[in-house]
Amino acid sequence: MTYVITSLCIGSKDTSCVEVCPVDAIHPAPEDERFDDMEQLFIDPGLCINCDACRTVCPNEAIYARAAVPPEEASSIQRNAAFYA
Amino acid sequence: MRETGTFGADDHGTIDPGTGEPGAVNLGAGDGEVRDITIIGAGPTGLSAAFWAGMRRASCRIVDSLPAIGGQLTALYPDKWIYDVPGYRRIKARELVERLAEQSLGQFATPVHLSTTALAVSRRSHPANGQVVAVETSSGIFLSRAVIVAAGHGAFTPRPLPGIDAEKWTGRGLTFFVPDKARFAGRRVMIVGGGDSACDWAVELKDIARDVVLVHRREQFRAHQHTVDQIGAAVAEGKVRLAVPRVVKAIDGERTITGVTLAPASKGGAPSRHDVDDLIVQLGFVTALGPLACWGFRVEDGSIAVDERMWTGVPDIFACGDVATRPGKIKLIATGLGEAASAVAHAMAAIRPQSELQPEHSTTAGLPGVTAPATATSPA
Repeated sequence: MTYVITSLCIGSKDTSCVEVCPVDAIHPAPEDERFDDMEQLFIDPGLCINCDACRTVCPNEAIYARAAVPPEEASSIQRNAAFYA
Repeated sequence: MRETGTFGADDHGTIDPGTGEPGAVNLGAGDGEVRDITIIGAGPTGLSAAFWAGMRRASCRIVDSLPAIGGQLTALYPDKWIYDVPGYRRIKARELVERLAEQSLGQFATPVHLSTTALAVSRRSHPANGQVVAVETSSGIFLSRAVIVAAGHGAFTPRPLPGIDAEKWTGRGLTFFVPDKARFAGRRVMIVGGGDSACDWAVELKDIARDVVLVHRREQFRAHQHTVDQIGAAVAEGKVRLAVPRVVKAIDGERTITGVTLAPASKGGAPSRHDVDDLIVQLGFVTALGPLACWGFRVEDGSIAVDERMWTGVPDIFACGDVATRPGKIKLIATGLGEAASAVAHAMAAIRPQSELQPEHSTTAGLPGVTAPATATSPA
């Protein structure tokens, strides 16, 4: 299991999630040089420990547990994983 | 006083000022005793291991890097409902920790050494006990016949300030823990962070410190609404000043901090320098295997590889729960609790080869020291 950032992040990239993630699983961080190039943030499925911290702080409600991702955002699951492939 | 044997700490994770910042190595003996088992980690799995050690009439102790028991459950989601713990339709994480502690620490009087980070492990010969395992921690060396690593995702450590040399300034005005509020009396304090802990400390220190500046990289704070309202009131009274959205760029000073330079969180804008005596960094915690990865274990995907006995491959050291992996492994509280029973059984088999691997059923054997003798009448 992992958490997934959906396209609701696009246009915001608020990064509150980056601040609270206890395992630094969310990228790119604002200080990362790729930050400006990416339209949204992603969660590394190999690092995520399902603590739910990111979901609760996201002002855009863009983050879901993988099993709870809305059907119209299903492609977000692949896009998150692909970022780390 | 070191928080030994207590079930928790206050909400702010206050640590003993006498022990200093985490990472300070005290080479003295932790408690001067050789116990049967040292359990690393006071999360649900570690608490379960302490229970099973008690059931096997083994003496044990727990060490944990955090200032309170419960591991992730306490540090990350104390108020969340958990729906997949056997026996409970649902239970708050905080309450599960209390129940596990009551069953293990409460019944078997297990010492718990909090704010104690495990750093290194070695084997040494002990005059009365032969070969023992020595766990070197931030609070001294603990000796035992076996070690059970139940460290979850590793020790929680304070998230550092990006781009700042924390090592250089820690203890010279930079602190990640607030040991004693009175220490800040009449001082110019800067607090960095946007969550509950940063806001709580701003509120706590507003009437003690001479000046409190709260720095956050965005306009909004993540703290509970009640705390955010308290901050708003303190700002209106002139007792707390906000520096938002700003980030720490540099620290200056000779022996100790005398000033901090802030810059706007986004590009552009002018930096500002503030006279500061104390810089309190409250950016939450990060967790990583850290020094455990260097203990000679086979590490796979950030977890310690174990065999079917929960054995790590390092003599007398076992692992269970989230920190351990093996083929087909799943990571749940439910499985961690069970793995703890296995790890204790195999640890006991390693240190008391004459003992039975399978624990006696509690329905017939009772509870050692409570309904049954504390010492074994037959080989335990």
